[in-house]
Amino acid sequence: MNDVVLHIQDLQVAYGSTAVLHGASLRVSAGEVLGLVGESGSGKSTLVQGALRMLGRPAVITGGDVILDGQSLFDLDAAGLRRMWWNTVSLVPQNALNALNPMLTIGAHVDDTLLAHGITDAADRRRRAIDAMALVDLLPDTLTAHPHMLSGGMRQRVAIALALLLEPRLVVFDEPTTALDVVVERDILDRIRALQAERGFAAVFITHDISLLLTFADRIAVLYAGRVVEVAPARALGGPSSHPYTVGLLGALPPKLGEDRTAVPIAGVAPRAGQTTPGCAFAPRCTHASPKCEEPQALRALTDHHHVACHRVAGERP
Amino acid sequence: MMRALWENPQARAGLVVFGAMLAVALVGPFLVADPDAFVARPLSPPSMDHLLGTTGQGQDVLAQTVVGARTTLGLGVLVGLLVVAIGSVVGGLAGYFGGKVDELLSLLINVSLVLPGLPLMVVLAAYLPAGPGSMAAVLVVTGWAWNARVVRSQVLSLRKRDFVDAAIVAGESPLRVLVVEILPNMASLLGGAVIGATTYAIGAQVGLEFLGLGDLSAITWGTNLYWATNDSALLTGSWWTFVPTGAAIALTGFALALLNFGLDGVTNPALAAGAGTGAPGPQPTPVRRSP
Amino acid sequence: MTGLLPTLLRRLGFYALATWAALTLNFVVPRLMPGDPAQAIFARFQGSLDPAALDAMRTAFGVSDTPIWSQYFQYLLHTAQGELGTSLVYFPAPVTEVIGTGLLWTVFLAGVSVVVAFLVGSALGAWAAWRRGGWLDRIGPPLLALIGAFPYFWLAMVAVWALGFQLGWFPVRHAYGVDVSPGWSLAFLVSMTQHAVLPAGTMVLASLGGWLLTMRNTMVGVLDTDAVRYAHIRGLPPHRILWHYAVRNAMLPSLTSFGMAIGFVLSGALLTEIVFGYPGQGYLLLQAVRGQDYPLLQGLFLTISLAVLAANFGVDVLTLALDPRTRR
Repeated sequence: MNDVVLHIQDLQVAYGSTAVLHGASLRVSAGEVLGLVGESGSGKSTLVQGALRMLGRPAVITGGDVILDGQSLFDLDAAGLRRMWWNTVSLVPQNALNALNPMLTIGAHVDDTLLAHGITDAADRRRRAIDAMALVDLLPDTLTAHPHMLSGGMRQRVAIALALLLEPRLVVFDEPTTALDVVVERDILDRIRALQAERGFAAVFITHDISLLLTFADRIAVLYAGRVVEVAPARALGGPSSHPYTVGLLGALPPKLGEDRTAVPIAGVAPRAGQTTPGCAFAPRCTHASPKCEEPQALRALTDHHHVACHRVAGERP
Repeated sequence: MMRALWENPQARAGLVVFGAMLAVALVGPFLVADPDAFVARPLSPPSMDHLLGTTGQGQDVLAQTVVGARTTLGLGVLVGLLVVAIGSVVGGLAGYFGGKVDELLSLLINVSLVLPGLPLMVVLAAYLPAGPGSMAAVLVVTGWAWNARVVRSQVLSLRKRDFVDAAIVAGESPLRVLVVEILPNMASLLGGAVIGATTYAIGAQVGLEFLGLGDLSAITWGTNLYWATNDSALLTGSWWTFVPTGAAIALTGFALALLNFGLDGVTNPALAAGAGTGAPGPQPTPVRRSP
Repeated sequence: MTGLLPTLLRRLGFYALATWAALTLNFVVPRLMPGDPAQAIFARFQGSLDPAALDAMRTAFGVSDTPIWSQYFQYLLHTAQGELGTSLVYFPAPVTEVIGTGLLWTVFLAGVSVVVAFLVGSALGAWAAWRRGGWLDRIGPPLLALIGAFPYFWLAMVAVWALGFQLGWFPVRHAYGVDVSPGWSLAFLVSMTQHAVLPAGTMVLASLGGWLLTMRNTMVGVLDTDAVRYAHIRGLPPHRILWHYAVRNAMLPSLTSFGMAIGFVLSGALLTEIVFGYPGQGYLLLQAVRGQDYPLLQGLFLTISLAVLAANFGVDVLTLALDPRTRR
């Protein structure tokens, strides 16, 4: 499974004059589920949406490269990007209520998207729209509703249906359940998991809640202060060769029923977006910090699938 | 924030020009001839003796323009501040206390907004004794409600924020919460409101005086224009009795508008002039590598 | 309670209350004015009005001996019956007739101007925001702000002098020429249009900047929302985004301002009518004030108040209709 769908290399993004992403790298292979976890303000959405050039003003890309399905996205113009968007890669936004147009029905949203991608036959569009609703267990009459009439969970399902309309190779889920309550969250997660298994698309699942990813993702990338500090298979996370921040994150999780453990929050505060140091940004809060942490920490490979940006864990191997 | 305003080119231009007008209004009258005096043949065009010529009553136009600035600008700024003050108090109380208080005050505000201001203005101006006090009263009575509505909705939304609840729980009195917690967050809104109210005050003043409803013996920009038309400026082609005052009013209004644009740009960078490339509609994230 | 009907009823209730307030204010204000209406009426019409009519007038203006409450109810009754008295300045024409003629001209002139200014200004503002940073966005707001900063009547008089007197392109006074008579003849309509160009043109020019700026600022905000970005990445063509995603959402706040502006249209474009001698509501208002014509004044106040209220209510209904979020 070495077919790489998305390859983000050393991406740097700024909002106006404030640098927010200081060189982040990520690789997504065909059919895999990559979780991306980080605190609010760590730059998770910026990383993926910025890479795909989906961010609006005042975001600007200041460095790096992004290859999607063999094509460099930074070489494309607006028309080229529109060919990639929705066909090859699509997005499920964080809050569907804000993303959907309150003036239009759900059916109009679906119709708009299909028309924009060359599906001219009205009957064909109608059929696909009903299929799309069925895919997420929504009745066809949902198509006649306006966004505000639907519940949060229903709106999120609409967003998922829209994202899968053209059967893209990669779907980005940007905190799809953050705005929902726990019960609905469970339902949405199960649906995403089922759809991914059934359709086989690669998925990037962005969240601030690492516990959601532990049983769902194949690999998990951890983002801290605008840099990716670890990428590892879900099972390998938190072990002795994990980044201190990841260990801290897992230790701060509320203990599950029957678990003999207390949650321990990480001491200190994460740096504000825009603050950057040449060395490891986590060093001030790390119990194992040493003077060597002030040097730049590159993501070093422990194994083919496990990379860590910490000299203590990864040793001096390049 | 003052510094950010100064760095914004539009705001800076507006401040400089308006400041210059205020300076002229304050100091100018000491430097020019007596605007009431008969100085030369009426309706004589600009010359070396009288840079802007004379009016239909033989008075120096330059002097009248400069002296007129004092009353018009003075009253304009004063009324602007008053209108915002009153509107803010009423709107602030309505937004802060909510409930019955809000319902009652909102009713008052909405009814005042919906009653026609111009006829009311004309009637009041016609029947009150001429003078700056009456003019101020007329402008304030017809103008306070707009601000009240704007302030009310802003206070309403700020009221729900966490830091306000925290202050209330900590035992701060309502007045303190309003002044210390809420108002500072509305600085730019209030700044814009004062600019808008001042513009309205100057414009309405000039309009009423032009109709002959102000104090005709006073020297203001509005009365200057009233007398110019009364003395058939247009028919005799005596543009110099008419143009300088109009230009002065326009310059003031334009300066205030620029200041407003700049203020918008500072508080909401998306609105700042200079953003954008002229490309149509939403665009993909641009790639701009530093060399 | 949410839903269309309860919201509508609540608004209706507010407007009923506001109407009552307007009527009461109309009753109260002339009685607060200094000067004695009774004397004014008497002095003018002694001998030319029969005693009954004089009496009715005095009752209407609070100069009779009946208690104030009875005067108030008399006034409300008369108003409901459409009896607004007789004009003093335009004696012996009844107030309703005088207002009637003025109304038509005002609706024509000011109505057309507001609608044109709103549509053109909003379209320009939407375009300026769409092509953010383009020349319209950079030049439009400051240029129109400068033009709008001149007193309206000053611009009008310059237009009159330049285009009217000097170049002779357009007539400078009145609503129609002396050579035509009112009616549906082509000659009359042509004359009417010619006479409307300068007054309407200057009004539109002076107010264009405001509409442009309002729409532009709202649009800039809307273009940055998630909904527009989401439409963009779903590949929707620019014209679809411009209209259905941007303008439709940006229009609602502008519409509220438009409603208020339409309402105030019936105050008459006072300064325009003075400069151009246009016989509309504003012109009548000034005549009434100068001539101490209380019946006419009161009648004008009434029509204007009712018009503003009706227009606002109309806009409320329109806003409710256009925004799907108000339906449940």
